[in-house]
Amino acid sequence: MLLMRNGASQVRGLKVCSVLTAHLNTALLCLMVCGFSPSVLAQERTPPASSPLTPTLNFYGVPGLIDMPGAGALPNGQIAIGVSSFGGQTRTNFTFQFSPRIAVTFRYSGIQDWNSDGFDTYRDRSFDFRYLLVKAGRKAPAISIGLQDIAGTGIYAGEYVVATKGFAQPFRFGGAVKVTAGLGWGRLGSTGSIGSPFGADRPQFVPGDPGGELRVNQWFRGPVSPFGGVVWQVSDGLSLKAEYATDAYTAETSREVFSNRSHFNFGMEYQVSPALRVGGYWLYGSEIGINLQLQVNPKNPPVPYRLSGPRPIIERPKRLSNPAAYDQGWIAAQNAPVVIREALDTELTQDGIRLHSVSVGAIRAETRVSSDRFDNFAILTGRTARAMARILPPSVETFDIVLVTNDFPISKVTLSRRDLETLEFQPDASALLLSRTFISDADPAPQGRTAQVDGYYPNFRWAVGPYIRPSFFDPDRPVRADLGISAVAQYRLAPGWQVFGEIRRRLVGNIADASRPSDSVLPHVRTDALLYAQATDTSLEQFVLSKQWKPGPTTYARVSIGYLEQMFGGLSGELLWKPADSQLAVGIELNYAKQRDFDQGFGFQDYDVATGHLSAYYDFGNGYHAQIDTGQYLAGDVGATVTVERQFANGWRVGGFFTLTDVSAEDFGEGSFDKGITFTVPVSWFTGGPTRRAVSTTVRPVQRDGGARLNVSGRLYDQIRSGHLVDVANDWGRVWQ
Amino acid sequence: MTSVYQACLLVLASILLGCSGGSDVPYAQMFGNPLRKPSPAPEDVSKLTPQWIAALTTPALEVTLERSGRVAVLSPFSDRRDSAGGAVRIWRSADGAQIVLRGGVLIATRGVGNDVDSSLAQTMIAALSARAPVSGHHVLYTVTSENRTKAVDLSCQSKLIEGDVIDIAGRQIETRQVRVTCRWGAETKVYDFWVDAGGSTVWQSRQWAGPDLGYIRTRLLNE
Repeated sequence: MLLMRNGASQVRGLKVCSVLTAHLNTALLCLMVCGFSPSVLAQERTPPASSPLTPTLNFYGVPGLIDMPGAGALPNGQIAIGVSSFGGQTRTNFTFQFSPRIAVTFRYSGIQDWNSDGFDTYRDRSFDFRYLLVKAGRKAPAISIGLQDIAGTGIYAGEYVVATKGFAQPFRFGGAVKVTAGLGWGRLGSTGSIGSPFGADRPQFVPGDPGGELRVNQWFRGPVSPFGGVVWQVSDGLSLKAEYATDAYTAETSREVFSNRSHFNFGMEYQVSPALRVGGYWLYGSEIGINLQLQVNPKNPPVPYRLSGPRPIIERPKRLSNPAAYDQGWIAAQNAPVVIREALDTELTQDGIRLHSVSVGAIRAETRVSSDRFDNFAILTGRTARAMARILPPSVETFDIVLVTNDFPISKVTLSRRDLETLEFQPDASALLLSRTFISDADPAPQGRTAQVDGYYPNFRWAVGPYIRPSFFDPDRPVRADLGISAVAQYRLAPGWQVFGEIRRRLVGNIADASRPSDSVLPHVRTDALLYAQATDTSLEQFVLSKQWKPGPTTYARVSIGYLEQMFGGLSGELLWKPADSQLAVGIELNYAKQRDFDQGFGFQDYDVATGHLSAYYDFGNGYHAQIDTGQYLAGDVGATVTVERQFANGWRVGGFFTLTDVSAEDFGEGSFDKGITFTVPVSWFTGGPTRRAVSTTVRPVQRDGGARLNVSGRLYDQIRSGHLVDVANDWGRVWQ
Repeated sequence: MTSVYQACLLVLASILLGCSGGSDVPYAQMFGNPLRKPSPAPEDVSKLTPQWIAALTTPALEVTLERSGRVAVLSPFSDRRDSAGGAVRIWRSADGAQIVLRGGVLIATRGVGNDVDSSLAQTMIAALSARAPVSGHHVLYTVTSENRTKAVDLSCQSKLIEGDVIDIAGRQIETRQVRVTCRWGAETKVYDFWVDAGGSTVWQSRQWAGPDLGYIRTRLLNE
C-alpha cells in the first residue's frame, strides 16, 4: 500500500500554470540525470566542491568518509543528491543544508536478496538530522553531531559525534588531508564497542515495523564504537579515502545479503565538475561500491538573471532655475488623471507591467500595478517609479506604488521622487533608497482623484500542454509516472472573480498498473489513488469558481466552490490577517468537502466531511519561515501540521512538514504520521529571464489517510507574502534594474 | 539508461508542443519555454573599419565582456550630471544591456547579468584626472543571485605609464595610460585606462566589474 501521490503540485503566480509543474520538475530532473548539471554551466562563484574545506559525501549522502560520517557542513543552502550502491544495497540520498549548522537528509534505500520477513528486496525511507557543534578553526577541528534514521523503521538508526580536521599540505608531495575520528552508537556502534556509557537498553530493528515515530529513547543508547578515517585530496580532482568502519551490518549479513570480512574500506573519488563527484570503493573486504554525488546551490543559478535595462530617470529642472515647472495648476484640469493614466499605461505596458489605476494630487500620486512577468516586486517598484518620474508633472514629489497580485492590493511602497533622481548612481544606491522608502498596508481601493484602467475584464486564457504525474516509492516499482495532455482555461469575470478548469488525458503511464490497494482503516481520503488512476484516462482535475477580495487594509478573503482537486469537491472559504510590515500572519480556512467519483467526472461518492484549520505563519527573517495549522483533516481526524521552510530570495523554497493527529500510529499505518518535504524552484533560476512561474512538488515517504489536508488552489498567504515588507526588502538589490 | 534518455527526449519534446491562447497572453507567458531563444547575436564587429567609424554621426562605444566573449557596440542612452562629480553617461546595446560610465569609469551595469548596482569610484576618477599617483578604495556594489547587493571593496593604487599611441579600428590616438592596481583580499585586479593625451576622454579601458562579471573592455569608437 505504498502507492501514493507525491506529485501534488502548485504554482506561484498564474494558476493556469499548475498543469506543468510536474512535467517541468521531471524535465529538470532529467536534465540532471542526463548529465546536464545546472552548476556545470554556472560561472564559479564559490570554491569548487573539491576544496579542502568542503566536505564530500559518504554512502548515506552526508558529509563524511566512505560509509562513516564526518564533521563539517556543506555550504549554506546546498542541496546534495546522491546515489550509492554496494553489496546489493542502493541508497538514494537527498541532503539539504538548511542553515549554516543544520542539515537534514531524506533517504530511499533498497536492499536486494533480503529474502525474509515477506520481502525479496527490502525498501525503506529514512530521515537524518545533523548539527555542526563547532566550526573548523585554525587549530580546532569541526565537530558534528548526527542522528541517523530518526523517524523511519530504524534499519539505519545510529547516532554519532565526530570531529574532522583538515591539513592544507601536510606531505612533501602535496595535497590536502582531512582526518576524521568519531564515536558511533546504534548501527555505527555495532562492532568494536568500547562500552555503553548511556545505558545498554537499546531496542533492536524489527523488519516491517511501521516506523515513523521519533525514537528518542534509543538515542545514544547501547554500545559505542570509535571509528575514523582519512581523506587525502591528491589534486583538485582526485581524492583517496580510507576508513575504519564500525557498522557490522548485522541485519544484512545474517540474511546473507553480503559478507562483512573487514572493517577497513578504501575508495577513490574524482570531482568531475564543481557539481558532480564520482567514486569507486572496496568495502568490507568483499564488495565493490560506487557513489555518485550531485550538488547544487540555489544561490548559484546556472544562468545569471538578466533583464533588459530600464529607461533612464528624467530629472526635473531645478526649482530655483525654473519655478514655473513646479506650478500645481495642472491638477485643476478635469482630465488630468485620465491623461496621466494614458501615458503611464502605454509606458508600463511596454515593460510588461499592468496598470490598474492612477490617483493624482498636486504633490502626491498613487499607481496600482501588477505584472505577470516580474517575479520580483522590487523590479516592479523600480520600473513603475521610473515611469512615474518620466511622466508625472514636476510638482508631484511623492510616489505611492501599490503592488497588486491576483487583484489583491498587497502593499504600498512610498518613494521620494527626489531620491529617485539623486541616488541611482550614488555608492550603495539600493541600500540608500531602501533606507528612505516606506512599505505599508494598501487600502482595498484607491482614494482621491482616480482614473481606473478599464477593459481588462472579462479576460480569458487557455493553454494546452503536456503533464507528467509521478508516483514514488511503490515497493514493486519505486518510480512510476503517467504522461499525457492537459488543457487548462481561466476566465476572469471581474476583479477577484474567476472560473478555472483543467482537463487531463493520460497517454502513457504505469501508475494504474500498481497492485497494492488501500488497507487503511480510516476513510480512504488519499489511499485510493490507485482506483482514481485505474478508473479513467480522461479526468476533470479542477473546475472551480472563486472570488477573492480584500475586506480591509490588513485582511484578505477567498471563497472557492467546485471540483477543488482530484479527489474532492466542495466549498472552501479562507480569511487571512497579515499587515504588510508584520512577520506574523493568522488565517482561518473552513471547507465542506465531498469525495469525488473515481472517474473524476462530475459525480461524487457518499463520503463528505467538514474540514478546516486555524493557521499561524511567522517569517523569522533571512528566509526562514514557519507555519502551524491546527484543525480537522479530511479523514475527520483532529491535529496540527508544523511546516518549516527556507526561502531563497531568488524564489527557491525547500521545506519540511509533519502532521500529528488523534489517529493512532496503528490506525495511521506505515509511517505512523504524515510528513514530507516540499520544493519550489523558480523557472527564472534556469532561464535567467523574468517569469513568475515556479515548479512545486511535495514528496512524502508514504501517503496515508491520516493528517491529509484538502488541496485548495490559491491559498492566501502564499499569494501575498512576496509583496510584503520582508520579501520586498530582500529583493531590493534589483530595484534599479 | 536508454529509457532515461528516451524519457528526457519525450519530456523536452512534449514541452515544445504546447499551445495556448486567450485575451492577452501568449503561450510563452502562460507556460513559458525552458528552451529560451538565444539572445540576439552581438553586432558584427568586423564592420568596425575606419570608414564605418568615420561615418558615425553619434558616439559609439565598443564593449567586450572578457569572460563570455560577448562584444557589442553601444549607443548613448542618457546623460546626466550629479553631485558626485563627473558626467554620467548611460550606454545601451541593441538588446537592452546598459553600461554606465562616470568620466570613463564604470560605475554600474544594467541588463548584463551579474550586474554592478553602483560604485564608490572616486579613487578611480581621481586617478584619471590627476597627473600623480592616487591611492584609496574603489567599492563595487554587485547584485547577487539572491537579489541583494554585495560590497566588493578594493584597495587601489594608481600610476601613470608612459604615453601610448593606440589603434582603434585603424585610427591612431595619442594617449597616456593610467594603471590602477587594486587588492581584493588575496587577489590583484588591474584597471587600465588610456586617456586622451590632451584631454580627459577615456578612449580605451579594461576594468574589473566584480567576481561574477569579470573584466570589461571598452573602446570609444566615436566621441
